Amino acid sequence: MMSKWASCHVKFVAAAVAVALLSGVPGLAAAGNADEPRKPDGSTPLQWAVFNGDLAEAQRLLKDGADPRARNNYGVDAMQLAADIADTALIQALLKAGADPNTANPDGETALHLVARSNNVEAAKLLLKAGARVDAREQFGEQTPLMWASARRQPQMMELLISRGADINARGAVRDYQRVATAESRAKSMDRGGFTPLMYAARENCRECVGVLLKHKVDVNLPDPSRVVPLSIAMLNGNWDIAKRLVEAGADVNQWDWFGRAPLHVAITSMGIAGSRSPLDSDQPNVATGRDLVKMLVERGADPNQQLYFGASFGASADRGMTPFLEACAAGDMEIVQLLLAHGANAKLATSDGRGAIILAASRAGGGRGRGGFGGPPGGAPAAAPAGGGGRGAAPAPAGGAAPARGAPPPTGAIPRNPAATLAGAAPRGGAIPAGGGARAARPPDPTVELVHVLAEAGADVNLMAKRHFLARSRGGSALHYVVRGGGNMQIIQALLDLGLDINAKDEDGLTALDYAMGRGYVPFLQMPTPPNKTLADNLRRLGATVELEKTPDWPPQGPPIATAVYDSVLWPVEPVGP
Amino acid sequence: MTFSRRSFLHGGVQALGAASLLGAVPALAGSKEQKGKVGARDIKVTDVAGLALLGGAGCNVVALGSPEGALLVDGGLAVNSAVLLKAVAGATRTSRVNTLINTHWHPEQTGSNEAVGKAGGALIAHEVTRLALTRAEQSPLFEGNYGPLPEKARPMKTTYNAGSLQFAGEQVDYRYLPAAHTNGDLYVHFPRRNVLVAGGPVVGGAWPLIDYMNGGFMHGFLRSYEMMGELVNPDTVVIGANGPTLTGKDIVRHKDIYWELFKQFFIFFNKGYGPLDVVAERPLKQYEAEMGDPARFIEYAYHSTQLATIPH
Repeated sequence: MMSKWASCHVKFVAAAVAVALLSGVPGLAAAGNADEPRKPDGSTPLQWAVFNGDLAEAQRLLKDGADPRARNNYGVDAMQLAADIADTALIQALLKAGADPNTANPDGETALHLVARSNNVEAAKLLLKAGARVDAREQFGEQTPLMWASARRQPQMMELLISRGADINARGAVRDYQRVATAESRAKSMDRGGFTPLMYAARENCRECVGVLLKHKVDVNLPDPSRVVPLSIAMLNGNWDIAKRLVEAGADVNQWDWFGRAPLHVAITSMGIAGSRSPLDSDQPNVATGRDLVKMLVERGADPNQQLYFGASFGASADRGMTPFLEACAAGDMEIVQLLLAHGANAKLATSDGRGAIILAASRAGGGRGRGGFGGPPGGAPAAAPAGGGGRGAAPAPAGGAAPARGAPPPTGAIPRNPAATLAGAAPRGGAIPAGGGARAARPPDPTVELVHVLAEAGADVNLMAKRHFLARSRGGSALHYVVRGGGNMQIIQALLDLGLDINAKDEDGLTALDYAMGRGYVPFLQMPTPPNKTLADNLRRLGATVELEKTPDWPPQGPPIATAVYDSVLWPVEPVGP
Repeated sequence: MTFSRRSFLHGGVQALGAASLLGAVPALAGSKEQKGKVGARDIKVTDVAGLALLGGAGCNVVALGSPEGALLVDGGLAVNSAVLLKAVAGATRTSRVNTLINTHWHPEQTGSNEAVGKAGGALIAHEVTRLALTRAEQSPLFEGNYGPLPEKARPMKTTYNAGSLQFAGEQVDYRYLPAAHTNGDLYVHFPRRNVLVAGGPVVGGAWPLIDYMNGGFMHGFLRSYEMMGELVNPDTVVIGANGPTLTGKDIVRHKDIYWELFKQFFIFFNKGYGPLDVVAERPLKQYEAEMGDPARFIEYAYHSTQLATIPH
């Protein structure tokens, strides 16, 4: 009977041998002769020698008659192993011994595909000289070596492949997924493929690659299957230098995609992205900025009024009708707003649920993109998904994209302590409302006040009433409803009233802004009612609010059925949202 | 631009369905117009409450004459523009087209824009239609690209919502049908004659299609029927993009059919179905004898619902 120690020893040696065989330790797994039986995975000694980059051993085995075309059980041959490590000498040795430069693994990947990912141009030259097909397509995504070179940021390799006839406008496989729900039972976006070399370069921030493609007259406007252009792909990833080059190269500044989203829209919603986060780019950050791109696009005729067909996510279906100009309003970016107005922006347009420029601008102080939440202050809608996703470097939440959390500090411009003394009369435009009693320093003017006035002068309707939107979790209403639900910034409230907003206007639920201040707003499923903000309510009353419900309505425990909610969520432009 | 075999077959089915129901369109006219060019004899003129309804040029075209020229709603395919305009001149006893309203930008509707625009006629459309005609457009409804059209062929008067004009002493109203067949559909209403030219969302005797690549989606399509349903009375004559005329009563009935389908879409959603799965379920089978094969309508409608409601 074997002792316990002997049993352990045998097991240890067996394990060591197995590890050595699998890992290819030189002298154990790789050493051998050409006639040696294959390993359990079907690999030959030559393949192991190539895998280990052991040129001398590979040459010895080839000299002894090893078959360079032999494949292992996974369909991989020595040439693909050599190409995988882009070893020029091994590739040369294998070609000399009769290896086929066009053999492909079961996924259709050829040696040239594998080499194209590297910067070993000499290896690629050898393969091409031996007859490798420059536009071979692998079978999964039908991608070419040029696409692989572009996606791996190899401009010299791209130059070589293009010089040998590679199709610079080739497109990968387009996938039309029928089913977009997975086992998770939730519908989701599925990658549709169909990228070109330029799209890979734009996505991966390879400025030199884009330069090579432009030099060879690539079609800068060839879109992906959803009609997203390379320019938008660059900007969605914050690759502003590339975007600038594409614009300078003549990219169409008005080509919108299936979602009605044109490059200017992408530029404005992506302005907050600093640029590539790849370590490869750490020493060469973008010179251009998102703001530069917005200016370039506008100067070249980009339409600030192109409306979105669809919102960019399930809850953002209310964003149908959003324009680049409205995005700038929602971001509170005065410089861009004025730039767009100077280039024909239409301040009367609104989203399909009736959120116009003033609602979007005013509500950013608390409601976030005009979603506005359900109840009274300080509760608000959950953070909105950033619009215009799709980029690898997803956009951060837009300015004002998240409502303040419960219990968070009050927003800037919260209620003065002695509002009776401060609220009489109109506040100076853009000016701060002085604090009561002189005990506190005056608050700095809220820039949103100035923005609201600019928008009103441009024709935006201050009395526009948005509809409620179940999926966006918004109850609609006037700009005042949004501001009150967002916390009640008194400077903005005063500015809205100065512009003629009806303080007693009711939303679709029949609630006034005062009702929201009193915590009578809609209570969503499984959420607590919002407590009243009596100070804010008193301020509103002093400003003329007289209409309010006697008590909180009996809100239904749940929203409408899903089909009704979705249908109702796609709301329609109502007068006067458009000219 | 070419037409796919699928669209050719679809057109044929529509025409056959229409012909079998009302006999207003010759059985082969639909398929022939989908192939492209037609001759003068293929343009069929029908009187509809004093308006001339011209079929055969690619879509239903409506004309109203006046001493200042004709008002035209849609203009057929470009390849048929010459014979169509000649037929319009004959039907309205006018030598020129004064105003052409495009119900949307598809080639079947905008093929006479260039001729009318160059001759000094006014072109009216939704702003989205104008934008679409400024570039090369694609659609699942045809193969290849369409456009951009020359400057003179682009609408010079556009709306986002609604508008009216006085023509030959009567009021003509047009209004946006958001996200219905495309994202730039207009209907044109002749209130004095109780005639509604519905454009893309309506097809007589067959299923309409939703151009999901260009902003049309099921929600808007359904909403367009609601909007039209609020406008019509049971006797209103409704002229769709193709096929024989319908009535206001038909519009209300079709709205109910589409609403039931829309609600079913969410059951299919929860089952994880794709468009072809829904087609295989045949949710409209009780209407197939009346309206023909709904497969393509369902496929596009469901696809549009996916696009409009699933994050992308």
